[in-house]
Amino acid sequence: MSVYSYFPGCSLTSTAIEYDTSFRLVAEAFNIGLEELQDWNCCGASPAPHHWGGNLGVFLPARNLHIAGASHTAMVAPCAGCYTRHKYAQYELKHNQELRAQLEETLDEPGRFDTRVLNIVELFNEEIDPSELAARSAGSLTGLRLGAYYGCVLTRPAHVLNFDDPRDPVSMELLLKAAGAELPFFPFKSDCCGSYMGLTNPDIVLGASRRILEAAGECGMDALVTACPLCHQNLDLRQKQINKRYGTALRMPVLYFSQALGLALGFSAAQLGIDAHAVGVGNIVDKMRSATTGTEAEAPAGPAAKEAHS
Amino acid sequence: MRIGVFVCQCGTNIAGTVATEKVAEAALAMRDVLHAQSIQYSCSEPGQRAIIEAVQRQGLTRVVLAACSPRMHETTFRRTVAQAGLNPFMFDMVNIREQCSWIHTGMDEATLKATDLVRKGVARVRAQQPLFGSTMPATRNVLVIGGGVAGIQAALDIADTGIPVTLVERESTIGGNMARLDKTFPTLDCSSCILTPRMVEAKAHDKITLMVNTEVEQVRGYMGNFEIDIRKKATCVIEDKCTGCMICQEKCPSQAPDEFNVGMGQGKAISIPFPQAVPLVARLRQEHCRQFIKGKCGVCQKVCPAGAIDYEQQDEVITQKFGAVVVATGYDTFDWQAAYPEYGGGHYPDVITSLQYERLLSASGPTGGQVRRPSDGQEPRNIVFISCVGSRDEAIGRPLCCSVGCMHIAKQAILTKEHIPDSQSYVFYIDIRAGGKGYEEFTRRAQREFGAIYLRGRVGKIYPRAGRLIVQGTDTLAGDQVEVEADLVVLATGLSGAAGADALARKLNISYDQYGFLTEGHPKLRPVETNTGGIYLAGACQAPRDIPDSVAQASAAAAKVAGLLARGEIETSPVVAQVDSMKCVACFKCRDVCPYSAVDMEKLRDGREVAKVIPSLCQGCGVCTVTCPPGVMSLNGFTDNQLISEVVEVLR
Repeated sequence: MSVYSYFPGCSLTSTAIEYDTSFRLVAEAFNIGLEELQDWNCCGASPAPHHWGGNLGVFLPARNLHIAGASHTAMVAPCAGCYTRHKYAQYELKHNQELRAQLEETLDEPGRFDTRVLNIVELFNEEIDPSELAARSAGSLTGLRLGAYYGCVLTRPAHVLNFDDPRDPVSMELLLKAAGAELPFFPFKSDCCGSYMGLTNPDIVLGASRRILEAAGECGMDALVTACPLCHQNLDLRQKQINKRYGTALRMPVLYFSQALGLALGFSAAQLGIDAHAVGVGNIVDKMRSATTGTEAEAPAGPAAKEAHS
Repeated sequence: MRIGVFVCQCGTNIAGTVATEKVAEAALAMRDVLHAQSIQYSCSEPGQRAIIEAVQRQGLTRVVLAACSPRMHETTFRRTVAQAGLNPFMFDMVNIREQCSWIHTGMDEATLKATDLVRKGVARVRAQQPLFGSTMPATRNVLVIGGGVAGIQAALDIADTGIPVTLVERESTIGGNMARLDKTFPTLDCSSCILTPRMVEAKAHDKITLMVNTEVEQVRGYMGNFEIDIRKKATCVIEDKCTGCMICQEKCPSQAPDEFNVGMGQGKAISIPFPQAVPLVARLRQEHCRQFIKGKCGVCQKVCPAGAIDYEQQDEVITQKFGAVVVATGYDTFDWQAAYPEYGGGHYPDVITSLQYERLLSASGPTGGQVRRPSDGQEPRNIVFISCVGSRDEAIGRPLCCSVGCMHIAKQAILTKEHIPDSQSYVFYIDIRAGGKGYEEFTRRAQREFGAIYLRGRVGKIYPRAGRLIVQGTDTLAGDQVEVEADLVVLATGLSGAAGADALARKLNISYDQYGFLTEGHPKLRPVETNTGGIYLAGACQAPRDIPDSVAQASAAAAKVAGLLARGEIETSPVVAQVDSMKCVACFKCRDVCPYSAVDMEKLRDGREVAKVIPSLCQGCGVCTVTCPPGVMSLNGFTDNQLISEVVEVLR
């Protein structure tokens, strides 16, 4: 069993606690060991690198990397922001020897910054065999049209992250398809949701997220799937605000990637914390239930069910 | 032995870094050097005359010239030396420009290095023997590969000089991409009206043999005497019997992709691509035919009034001799779908390429010249053109300009307005490149008279909304984000060398670049030649180019071919390998490595079998000389003796 150092970050311990719950459930189901990083600190998020300036945006994640490096060769950060900050710090410390020397002087020992940092999509793609997922889920997502939404930072900047194709990422699709879901082309899969502008200029977030949600509706999606707590917040929590601001009637459920996989594995919406979302997911669960009932009535095998309902 | 050394100043190109006078002075001290001088421009008329005069006055027998790269002017100076009365090979050219003055900055070091290089040249020319080339007969027969407008032009021009031409085309008709175009810029001539007569002429010309459904299989030989295998693919249609009535196509039950209409229409397994095809003969594609897939059908055979269908037909390989080859394989449009997910990556039926749009505009196209969008057959109102899709885009590794996009967008915007008067065209562009005669005026007309709205900026995304496509881009002149609601989006896709051009290039032993374009001999001075003698380029196979440029280059290639074959014989280079047959151990490793099959076996009087070089095939590459285990293979002008004495001098 592979064991990863787990960096939850602030979101997964507060506003996105259901992301943490569902992540742990799916990881456990596939025998992926997670050990929460001891004494972790904030990754720096947006303010440290972009507003406070200096090297705080590198030093904060570097401390986490240094702790993780003592015990683990790989660390998973499910929050796209945390993931990017740690990768970025690693990149800086690899290419800026002066900065590295400065930091090592403060630490008074050689830095252990080279622990591999993974995001959740990367981790699941490496640890979960699609055919095993297909077998264990018995194609339970069949009939669902899901929009894989990566947002802007999970793949960018590409030369720092080296994860998937920044213009057309497909990693989430690979696993969701294995679980039977249909993943139609989604032109907004790597667009920005407005990110932290929600704090300073909410109109930007409302506008950007509206476009994404409307496009999801246009493409006939049953739900969007994301791997970023901030995206989730903007798309799910602010959906009501968007409807109010623009007079729209959007009702697009937004799932975390781990929740979508959890549903596929048969965990309940309550177990996965989906019932805590602002936009209800009744339609998805109903669709899955009707598919399952149909399966039982017609044929017991997964693939047969796929044929009958696709 | 009386050696003369000449050191070229090349203006300041060499003299700016190398003290040429000092090099000449140092040369005078070298063994057997009787004369040395610095010359301002040795390639100029007075420069060449100075060399001739010095040779004649001083009775020089060998010449060393320190100047630019031999690639540039070696031939020129061999001629000069010959004019002075010497064997042209009693000459060595030392490169003190590209390999010395241009790459160094310090005068002292550069002068020292130039002197060393001259010493090397002197050593080499001292060991030089006179060499004599010979002539060989050349085959007066030319192969033109590719029957687009460039190939047709080259074939006609060559044939008009009286030299026989075989024009091969892998499709079932000649005409190439130009036959797909509706109108041409900037004159709006009907493309087929100007092309079709040329196609017919090519077929009717008594010096042109036209072969369609044909590809070059294998190439042997060399300039003047190529031996080429041509594969004529089975089409299940007897060419002489088919009358082109198209009844087979009408009745054929097997659907197939419509390649001529670039996927805009629905094709049949047996078909004639378009009504003006030359030759007007049907072709059956077995991979789509029910007779071949299911083993029964036979409809075309039953309905053909001429009895031209033969399901048993086999490929045929024809071998012929040619003196020269013109490659005119043209271009393919860039396969954009995988590279541009932001334009829908092929998921939206109403995002098409400009070549596809050309077929929708054409009266002989699948919609009869009515512009109908693919998704629902509706006539579009708002049409958005996007330039540089797969061109000028370093993000996808294609920085090259397609050179025709700006112009055909302007043309299509004009034609759109003519077809649909209440339509509105939008053009997203980076720059408007309209360098040709009348081109700039044409793009202005598209905007002023035909109301096309030009927006300077790239498109970032296309997405669907309520049955239309939203094209989201920037207007960098206004500094604004723009969104245009489009009914149809046309992408001006970049150009690449035609599919398979790289494989053909390998057969012909010519080079090509990463985009599949074939490489010319010199970008300025040898634009239609290749680096392999006797093989010439015409049209867009060499680089993206429009019709007038393709035609001009084709005529240039034809002139080169006529020049080569005019005298009926070709001079051969004496720089070839030689075997010392007494010392040959008959391992034949030389024969194994020779890329030109120029090594044969020879039986000596005593019965021993040894290696023998065929001078007319040998290209002087030298691979055999370094392979030969006993070292008895040597290259004229590059003997071990010469190379070793050069090295000795440099290390001295």
